[in-house]
Amino acid sequence: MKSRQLLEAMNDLPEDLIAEGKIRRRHPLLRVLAVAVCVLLVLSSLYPFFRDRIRGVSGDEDVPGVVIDGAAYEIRSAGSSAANQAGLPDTITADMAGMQVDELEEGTVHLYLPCENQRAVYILQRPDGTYRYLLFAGDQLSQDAWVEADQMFLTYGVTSAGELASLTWDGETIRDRQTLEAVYQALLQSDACGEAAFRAELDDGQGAHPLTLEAAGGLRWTADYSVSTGVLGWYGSYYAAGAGLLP
Amino acid sequence: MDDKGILELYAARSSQAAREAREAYGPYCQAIAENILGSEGEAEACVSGVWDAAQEQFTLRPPAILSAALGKITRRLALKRWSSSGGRRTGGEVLPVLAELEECVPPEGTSAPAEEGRLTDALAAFLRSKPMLQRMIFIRRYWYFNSVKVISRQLSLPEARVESLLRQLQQELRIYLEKEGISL
Repeated sequence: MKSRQLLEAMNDLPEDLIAEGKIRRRHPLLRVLAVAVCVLLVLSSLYPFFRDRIRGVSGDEDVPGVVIDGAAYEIRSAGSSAANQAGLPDTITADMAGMQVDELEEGTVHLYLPCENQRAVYILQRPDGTYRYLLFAGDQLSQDAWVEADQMFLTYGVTSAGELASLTWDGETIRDRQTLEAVYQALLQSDACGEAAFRAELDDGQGAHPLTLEAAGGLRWTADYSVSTGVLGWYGSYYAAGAGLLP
Repeated sequence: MDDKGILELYAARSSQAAREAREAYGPYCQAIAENILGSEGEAEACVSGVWDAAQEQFTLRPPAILSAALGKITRRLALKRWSSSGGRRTGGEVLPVLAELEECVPPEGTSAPAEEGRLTDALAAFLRSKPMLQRMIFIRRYWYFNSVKVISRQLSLPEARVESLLRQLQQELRIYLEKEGISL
Protein backbone atom coordinates (compact mmCIF):
# COMPACT_ATOMS: atom_id res chain seq x y z
CA MET A 1 0.00 0.00 0.00
CA LYS A 2 1.52 3.33 -1.09
CA SER A 3 0.23 5.23 1.89
CA ARG A 4 2.48 2.97 3.96
CA GLN A 5 5.48 4.52 2.21
CA LEU A 6 4.28 7.97 3.27
CA LEU A 7 3.79 6.78 6.82
CA GLU A 8 7.31 5.37 7.01
CA ALA A 9 8.90 8.36 5.29
CA MET A 10 7.38 10.53 8.01
CA ASN A 11 9.38 8.73 10.65
CA ASP A 12 12.51 10.53 9.50
CA LEU A 13 11.01 14.00 9.52
CA PRO A 14 13.25 16.62 11.18
CA GLU A 15 13.00 16.60 14.96
CA ASP A 16 11.83 20.20 15.20
CA LEU A 17 8.72 19.40 13.13
CA ILE A 18 7.92 16.43 15.33
CA ALA A 19 8.50 18.42 18.51
CA GLU A 20 6.16 21.16 17.26
CA GLY A 21 3.30 18.69 17.28
CA LYS A 22 4.07 17.35 20.75
CA ILE A 23 1.29 17.77 23.27
CA ARG A 24 2.37 20.20 25.98
CA ARG A 25 0.85 19.16 29.27
CA ARG A 26 -0.23 21.98 31.53
CA HIS A 27 1.39 21.99 34.94
CA PRO A 28 -1.20 20.86 37.54
CA LEU A 29 -0.78 24.15 39.39
CA LEU A 30 -2.03 25.98 36.31
CA ARG A 31 -5.35 24.15 36.61
CA VAL A 32 -5.78 25.65 40.07
CA LEU A 33 -4.84 29.03 38.69
CA ALA A 34 -7.35 28.59 35.86
CA VAL A 35 -10.13 28.17 38.43
CA ALA A 36 -8.92 31.28 40.20
CA VAL A 37 -8.99 33.13 36.89
CA CYS A 38 -12.63 32.15 36.36
CA VAL A 39 -13.46 33.68 39.72
CA LEU A 40 -11.56 36.81 38.78
CA LEU A 41 -13.40 37.00 35.48
CA VAL A 42 -16.72 37.03 37.32
CA LEU A 43 -15.46 39.78 39.59
CA SER A 44 -14.09 41.70 36.63
CA SER A 45 -17.63 42.01 35.29
CA LEU A 46 -17.85 44.79 37.88
CA TYR A 47 -14.85 46.49 36.26
CA PRO A 48 -16.85 48.74 33.90
CA PHE A 49 -18.17 50.65 36.92
CA PHE A 50 -14.60 51.62 37.79
CA ARG A 51 -13.20 51.88 34.30
CA ASP A 52 -13.58 55.65 34.02
CA ARG A 53 -11.09 56.13 36.82
CA ILE A 54 -8.32 54.51 34.79
CA ARG A 55 -9.50 55.21 31.24
CA GLY A 56 -6.66 55.72 28.85
CA VAL A 57 -4.74 52.56 29.69
CA SER A 58 -6.32 50.61 26.87
CA GLY A 59 -8.36 51.50 23.86
CA ASP A 60 -8.98 50.62 20.26
CA GLU A 61 -5.83 50.33 18.27
CA ASP A 62 -5.69 51.15 14.64
CA VAL A 63 -3.20 48.50 13.60
CA PRO A 64 -3.09 46.21 10.58
CA GLY A 65 -4.41 42.72 11.08
CA VAL A 66 -2.68 39.38 10.81
CA VAL A 67 -3.48 36.22 8.89
CA ILE A 68 -3.83 32.87 10.61
CA ASP A 69 -4.76 29.74 8.74
CA GLY A 70 -6.14 31.68 5.78
CA ALA A 71 -8.28 34.05 7.84
CA ALA A 72 -7.76 37.68 8.76
CA TYR A 73 -7.67 38.77 12.39
CA GLU A 74 -7.72 42.26 13.91
CA ILE A 75 -5.48 43.04 16.86
CA ARG A 76 -7.58 44.61 19.62
CA SER A 77 -6.91 45.64 23.17
CA ALA A 78 -8.86 44.26 26.08
CA GLY A 79 -11.52 46.81 26.99
CA SER A 80 -11.71 48.17 23.45
CA SER A 81 -15.14 48.62 21.92
CA ALA A 82 -14.47 45.84 19.39
CA ALA A 83 -13.53 43.41 22.15
CA ASN A 84 -16.57 44.42 24.22
CA GLN A 85 -18.86 43.95 21.24
CA ALA A 86 -17.36 40.49 20.78
CA GLY A 87 -18.35 39.63 24.35
CA LEU A 88 -14.78 39.46 25.67
CA PRO A 89 -13.53 40.25 29.19
CA ASP A 90 -12.06 43.68 29.86
CA THR A 91 -8.73 42.27 30.97
CA ILE A 92 -6.53 39.52 29.57
CA THR A 93 -4.64 37.41 32.09
CA ALA A 94 -1.90 34.92 31.37
CA ASP A 95 -4.06 31.93 32.12
CA MET A 96 -6.54 32.87 29.43
CA ALA A 97 -3.78 32.10 26.91
CA GLY A 98 -3.53 28.42 26.10
CA MET A 99 -1.25 26.49 23.83
CA GLN A 100 0.73 28.39 21.22
CA VAL A 101 -0.58 27.78 17.72
CA ASP A 102 1.42 30.25 15.66
CA GLU A 103 4.34 32.61 15.74
CA LEU A 104 4.10 35.97 13.96
CA GLU A 105 6.18 39.10 13.76
CA GLU A 106 3.64 40.69 16.11
CA GLY A 107 4.05 37.98 18.74
CA THR A 108 2.95 34.46 19.57
CA VAL A 109 -0.62 33.32 18.98
CA HIS A 110 -2.33 31.28 21.67
CA LEU A 111 -5.66 29.54 22.06
CA TYR A 112 -8.28 31.53 23.96
CA LEU A 113 -8.98 29.13 26.81
CA PRO A 114 -12.30 30.48 28.17
CA CYS A 115 -14.02 29.50 24.91
CA GLU A 116 -13.09 26.19 23.34
CA ASN A 117 -13.73 24.83 19.88
CA GLN A 118 -13.79 28.16 18.10
CA ARG A 119 -11.49 30.15 15.86
CA ALA A 120 -13.06 33.58 16.31
CA VAL A 121 -10.75 34.69 19.09
CA TYR A 122 -7.09 34.01 19.84
CA ILE A 123 -4.73 35.64 22.33
CA LEU A 124 -1.65 37.44 21.03
CA GLN A 125 1.31 37.69 23.37
CA ARG A 126 3.44 40.55 22.17
CA PRO A 127 7.26 40.57 22.45
CA ASP A 128 6.96 42.96 25.41
CA GLY A 129 4.87 40.36 27.25
CA THR A 130 1.56 42.21 27.00
CA TYR A 131 -1.56 40.61 25.57
CA ARG A 132 -4.06 41.52 22.92
CA TYR A 133 -7.10 39.82 21.45
CA LEU A 134 -7.02 38.60 17.87
CA LEU A 135 -10.56 38.95 16.52
CA PHE A 136 -11.74 37.07 13.44
CA ALA A 137 -12.24 39.45 10.51
CA GLY A 138 -13.17 37.07 7.70
CA ASP A 139 -11.71 34.25 5.68
CA GLN A 140 -9.60 35.29 2.73
CA LEU A 141 -12.06 34.50 -0.03
CA SER A 142 -12.17 35.32 -3.70
CA GLN A 143 -15.24 37.13 -4.97
CA ASP A 144 -16.68 33.84 -6.22
CA ALA A 145 -16.13 31.87 -3.03
CA TRP A 146 -18.14 31.66 0.16
CA VAL A 147 -18.31 29.84 3.45
CA GLU A 148 -21.36 27.69 4.20
CA ALA A 149 -23.54 28.75 7.13
CA ASP A 150 -22.52 25.81 9.31
CA GLN A 151 -18.90 26.95 9.00
CA MET A 152 -19.93 30.44 10.05
CA PHE A 153 -21.47 29.02 13.21
CA LEU A 154 -18.48 26.72 13.79
CA THR A 155 -16.18 29.76 13.69
CA TYR A 156 -17.82 30.84 16.97
CA GLY A 157 -18.04 27.36 18.42
CA VAL A 158 -21.74 26.83 17.65
CA THR A 159 -22.42 23.30 16.47
CA SER A 160 -26.16 23.22 17.13
CA ALA A 161 -29.07 25.58 17.75
CA GLY A 162 -28.76 24.73 21.43
CA GLU A 163 -25.40 26.52 21.48
CA LEU A 164 -26.90 29.77 20.24
CA ALA A 165 -27.70 31.95 23.25
CA SER A 166 -29.42 34.95 21.70
CA LEU A 167 -29.81 37.24 18.75
CA THR A 168 -30.22 41.00 18.84
CA TRP A 169 -32.07 42.80 16.11
CA ASP A 170 -33.36 46.35 16.02
CA GLY A 171 -32.50 46.91 19.69
CA GLU A 172 -34.35 43.81 20.86
CA THR A 173 -32.63 40.71 22.23
CA ILE A 174 -34.35 37.41 21.56
CA ARG A 175 -33.58 34.37 23.70
CA ASP A 176 -36.65 32.31 22.82
CA ARG A 177 -35.41 28.83 21.97
CA GLN A 178 -37.97 28.19 19.25
CA THR A 179 -37.01 31.38 17.45
CA LEU A 180 -33.29 30.65 17.77
CA GLU A 181 -33.81 27.10 16.47
CA ALA A 182 -35.81 28.43 13.52
CA VAL A 183 -33.15 31.04 12.66
CA TYR A 184 -30.37 28.47 12.97
CA GLN A 185 -32.12 25.98 10.72
CA ALA A 186 -33.12 28.62 8.19
CA LEU A 187 -29.51 29.72 7.82
CA LEU A 188 -28.21 26.17 7.58
CA GLN A 189 -30.69 25.38 4.81
CA SER A 190 -30.29 28.64 2.93
CA ASP A 191 -28.64 28.96 -0.48
CA ALA A 192 -25.27 30.64 -0.07
CA CYS A 193 -23.18 32.64 -2.49
CA GLY A 194 -20.11 34.87 -2.63
CA GLU A 195 -19.65 38.59 -3.07
CA ALA A 196 -19.76 38.59 -6.88
CA ALA A 197 -23.04 36.67 -7.11
CA PHE A 198 -24.60 38.73 -4.32
CA ARG A 199 -23.80 42.01 -6.05
CA ALA A 200 -25.01 40.71 -9.39
CA GLU A 201 -28.20 38.96 -8.36
CA LEU A 202 -29.36 39.67 -4.80
CA ASP A 203 -28.35 43.16 -3.78
CA ASP A 204 -31.36 45.47 -4.10
CA GLY A 205 -29.38 48.47 -2.91
CA GLN A 206 -31.66 48.95 0.09
CA GLY A 207 -28.89 48.21 2.54
CA ALA A 208 -28.90 45.92 5.53
CA HIS A 209 -28.96 46.25 9.29
CA PRO A 210 -26.82 44.63 11.97
CA LEU A 211 -27.96 41.37 13.47
CA THR A 212 -25.89 40.27 16.45
CA LEU A 213 -25.69 36.61 17.37
CA GLU A 214 -24.35 35.32 20.65
CA ALA A 215 -22.95 31.85 21.27
CA ALA A 216 -23.53 30.00 24.51
CA GLY A 217 -19.86 30.53 25.39
CA GLY A 218 -20.40 34.31 25.30
CA LEU A 219 -18.80 35.16 21.98
CA ARG A 220 -20.82 37.60 19.87
CA TRP A 221 -20.66 38.41 16.20
CA THR A 222 -22.57 40.74 13.94
CA ALA A 223 -23.84 39.97 10.47
CA ASP A 224 -25.87 42.21 8.17
CA TYR A 225 -29.45 41.25 7.42
CA SER A 226 -31.64 42.78 4.75
CA VAL A 227 -35.34 42.51 5.49
CA SER A 228 -36.18 43.41 1.89
CA THR A 229 -34.11 40.60 0.32
CA GLY A 230 -33.96 38.18 3.25
CA VAL A 231 -30.20 37.86 2.79
CA LEU A 232 -27.76 37.68 5.67
CA GLY A 233 -24.21 38.77 4.88
CA TRP A 234 -21.13 37.71 6.82
CA TYR A 235 -17.61 38.62 5.67
CA GLY A 236 -18.23 38.08 1.97
CA SER A 237 -20.57 35.10 2.31
CA TYR A 238 -24.29 35.64 1.78
CA TYR A 239 -27.15 33.42 2.93
CA ALA A 240 -30.59 33.72 1.36
CA ALA A 241 -32.45 32.84 4.53
CA GLY A 242 -35.73 34.48 3.57
CA ALA A 243 -37.55 37.68 4.41
CA GLY A 244 -39.34 36.06 7.35
CA LEU A 245 -36.13 35.06 9.16
CA LEU A 246 -36.96 37.18 12.20
CA PRO A 247 -40.28 37.42 14.06
CA MET B 1 16.48 15.81 35.19
CA ASP B 2 16.56 17.99 32.08
CA ASP B 3 17.25 16.77 28.54
CA LYS B 4 20.89 17.87 28.64
CA GLY B 5 21.50 15.77 31.74
CA ILE B 6 19.81 12.72 30.25
CA LEU B 7 21.83 12.99 27.04
CA GLU B 8 25.05 13.27 29.05
CA LEU B 9 24.11 10.04 30.80
CA TYR B 10 23.49 8.37 27.45
CA ALA B 11 26.83 9.66 26.16
CA ALA B 12 28.54 8.19 29.22
CA ARG B 13 26.66 4.90 28.67
CA SER B 14 25.30 5.17 32.19
CA SER B 15 22.60 2.72 33.21
CA GLN B 16 20.82 5.65 34.81
CA ALA B 17 20.12 7.13 31.37
CA ALA B 18 17.28 4.74 30.62
CA ARG B 19 15.75 5.33 34.06
CA GLU B 20 15.81 9.09 33.69
CA ALA B 21 14.53 8.99 30.10
CA ARG B 22 11.69 6.71 31.15
CA GLU B 23 10.72 9.04 33.98
CA ALA B 24 10.76 12.09 31.73
CA TYR B 25 9.20 10.62 28.60
CA GLY B 26 7.54 7.35 29.58
CA PRO B 27 3.96 8.67 29.30
CA TYR B 28 4.76 10.47 26.05
CA CYS B 29 6.13 7.30 24.42
CA GLN B 30 3.32 5.22 25.88
CA ALA B 31 0.75 7.55 24.28
CA ILE B 32 2.39 7.22 20.84
CA ALA B 33 2.53 3.44 21.11
CA GLU B 34 -1.08 3.19 22.33
CA ASN B 35 -2.32 5.32 19.44
CA ILE B 36 -0.67 2.85 17.06
CA LEU B 37 -1.28 -0.46 18.80
CA GLY B 38 -4.64 0.31 20.38
CA SER B 39 -3.80 -1.53 23.58
CA GLU B 40 -2.20 -0.36 26.83
CA GLY B 41 -0.49 -3.69 27.44
CA GLU B 42 0.95 -3.97 23.93
CA ALA B 43 2.11 -0.37 24.14
CA GLU B 44 3.88 -1.02 27.46
CA ALA B 45 5.67 -4.02 26.01
CA CYS B 46 6.71 -1.95 23.01
CA VAL B 47 7.90 1.04 25.03
CA SER B 48 10.03 -1.15 27.30
CA GLY B 49 12.36 -1.60 24.36
CA VAL B 50 12.71 2.11 23.60
CA TRP B 51 15.24 3.03 26.29
CA ASP B 52 17.87 0.48 25.32
CA ALA B 53 17.34 1.17 21.63
CA ALA B 54 17.96 4.82 22.46
CA GLN B 55 21.31 3.91 24.08
CA GLU B 56 22.55 2.37 20.84
CA GLN B 57 21.29 5.15 18.66
CA PHE B 58 22.30 8.12 20.82
CA THR B 59 25.86 6.90 21.23
CA LEU B 60 26.33 7.02 17.47
CA ARG B 61 24.36 10.22 16.91
CA PRO B 62 23.14 12.35 19.83
CA PRO B 63 19.75 13.86 19.02
CA ALA B 64 18.99 17.57 18.85
CA ILE B 65 15.61 17.18 20.53
CA LEU B 66 15.39 14.26 22.96
CA SER B 67 11.59 13.97 23.01
CA ALA B 68 11.37 13.81 19.22
CA ALA B 69 14.19 11.25 19.01
CA LEU B 70 12.55 8.99 21.62
CA GLY B 71 9.24 9.49 19.84
CA LYS B 72 10.80 8.32 16.56
CA ILE B 73 12.16 5.16 18.15
CA THR B 74 8.79 4.45 19.74
CA ARG B 75 6.89 5.05 16.53
CA ARG B 76 9.22 2.79 14.58
CA LEU B 77 9.02 -0.02 17.13
CA ALA B 78 5.24 0.28 17.44
CA LEU B 79 4.69 0.24 13.68
CA LYS B 80 6.96 -2.79 13.39
CA ARG B 81 4.96 -4.52 16.09
CA TRP B 82 1.73 -3.53 14.34
CA SER B 83 2.99 -4.90 11.02
CA SER B 84 4.01 -8.17 12.63
CA SER B 85 0.36 -8.82 13.32
CA GLY B 86 -0.23 -8.66 9.57
CA GLY B 87 -1.89 -5.29 10.01
CA ARG B 88 -4.84 -6.99 11.63
CA ARG B 89 -4.91 -4.86 14.75
CA THR B 90 -7.94 -2.64 14.65
CA GLY B 91 -7.80 -0.90 18.02
CA GLY B 92 -5.38 1.89 17.09
CA GLU B 93 -5.48 4.62 14.49
CA VAL B 94 -3.15 3.05 11.90
CA LEU B 95 -5.82 1.74 9.52
CA PRO B 96 -7.82 5.00 9.41
CA VAL B 97 -4.58 7.00 8.97
CA LEU B 98 -3.43 4.75 6.12
CA ALA B 99 -6.80 5.18 4.43
CA GLU B 100 -6.54 8.97 4.73
CA LEU B 101 -2.97 9.03 3.46
CA GLU B 102 -4.10 7.21 0.31
CA GLU B 103 -5.69 10.55 -0.63
CA CYS B 104 -2.19 12.07 -0.65
CA VAL B 105 -0.73 9.57 -3.10
CA PRO B 106 -0.12 11.11 -6.53
CA PRO B 107 -1.70 9.32 -9.50
CA GLU B 108 0.38 6.71 -11.34
CA GLY B 109 2.67 8.51 -13.74
CA THR B 110 5.91 8.34 -15.56
CA SER B 111 8.02 9.60 -12.66
CA ALA B 112 10.50 7.15 -11.26
CA PRO B 113 9.81 6.01 -7.68
CA ALA B 114 11.22 8.41 -5.10
CA GLU B 115 14.73 7.60 -3.91
CA GLU B 116 15.20 7.08 -0.21
CA GLY B 117 15.19 10.32 1.70
CA ARG B 118 13.70 12.36 -1.14
CA LEU B 119 10.15 11.64 -0.01
CA THR B 120 10.98 12.65 3.57
CA ASP B 121 12.64 15.86 2.36
CA ALA B 122 9.60 16.66 0.22
CA LEU B 123 7.25 16.05 3.17
CA ALA B 124 9.35 18.32 5.37
CA ALA B 125 9.41 21.08 2.75
CA PHE B 126 5.65 20.78 2.26
CA LEU B 127 4.99 21.03 6.00
CA ARG B 128 7.31 24.00 6.44
CA SER B 129 5.36 25.85 3.73
CA LYS B 130 2.16 25.56 5.79
CA PRO B 131 0.98 27.75 8.71
CA MET B 132 1.89 26.37 12.13
CA LEU B 133 -1.66 25.39 13.03
CA GLN B 134 -2.02 23.26 9.91
CA ARG B 135 1.41 21.71 10.49
CA MET B 136 0.41 20.79 14.01
CA ILE B 137 -2.83 19.19 12.87
CA PHE B 138 -1.02 17.19 10.16
CA ILE B 139 1.75 15.98 12.50
CA ARG B 140 -0.67 15.14 15.28
CA ARG B 141 -2.81 13.05 12.96
CA TYR B 142 -0.25 11.37 10.73
CA TRP B 143 2.83 11.21 12.93
CA TYR B 144 1.34 10.91 16.43
CA PHE B 145 -1.82 9.06 15.24
CA ASN B 146 -4.08 11.19 17.43
CA SER B 147 -7.77 10.85 16.57
CA VAL B 148 -9.64 13.84 15.15
CA LYS B 149 -11.62 14.06 18.39
CA VAL B 150 -8.44 14.31 20.48
CA ILE B 151 -6.84 16.85 18.11
CA SER B 152 -9.95 19.01 18.18
CA ARG B 153 -9.88 18.98 21.98
CA GLN B 154 -6.16 19.71 22.13
CA LEU B 155 -6.40 22.65 19.73
CA SER B 156 -9.80 23.88 20.83
CA LEU B 157 -11.19 23.60 17.32
CA PRO B 158 -14.47 22.05 16.23
CA GLU B 159 -14.01 18.51 14.91
CA ALA B 160 -15.50 19.51 11.56
CA ARG B 161 -12.82 22.17 11.19
CA VAL B 162 -10.04 19.66 11.92
CA GLU B 163 -11.52 17.21 9.41
CA SER B 164 -11.86 19.92 6.79
CA LEU B 165 -8.24 21.05 7.29
CA LEU B 166 -7.00 17.47 7.05
CA ARG B 167 -8.87 16.95 3.77
CA GLN B 168 -7.44 20.19 2.44
CA LEU B 169 -3.91 19.16 3.46
CA GLN B 170 -4.33 15.73 1.86
CA GLN B 171 -5.20 17.33 -1.47
CA GLU B 172 -2.43 19.90 -1.23
CA LEU B 173 0.15 17.24 -0.42
CA ARG B 174 -0.94 15.12 -3.38
CA ILE B 175 -0.60 18.12 -5.70
CA TYR B 176 2.76 19.02 -4.15
CA LEU B 177 4.21 15.52 -4.58
CA GLU B 178 2.99 15.41 -8.17
CA LYS B 179 4.59 18.78 -8.91
CA GLU B 180 7.85 17.57 -7.38
CA GLY B 181 7.78 14.56 -9.68
CA ILE B 182 7.55 12.09 -6.80
CA SER B 183 5.71 8.84 -7.31
CA LEU B 184 5.17 6.01 -4.84
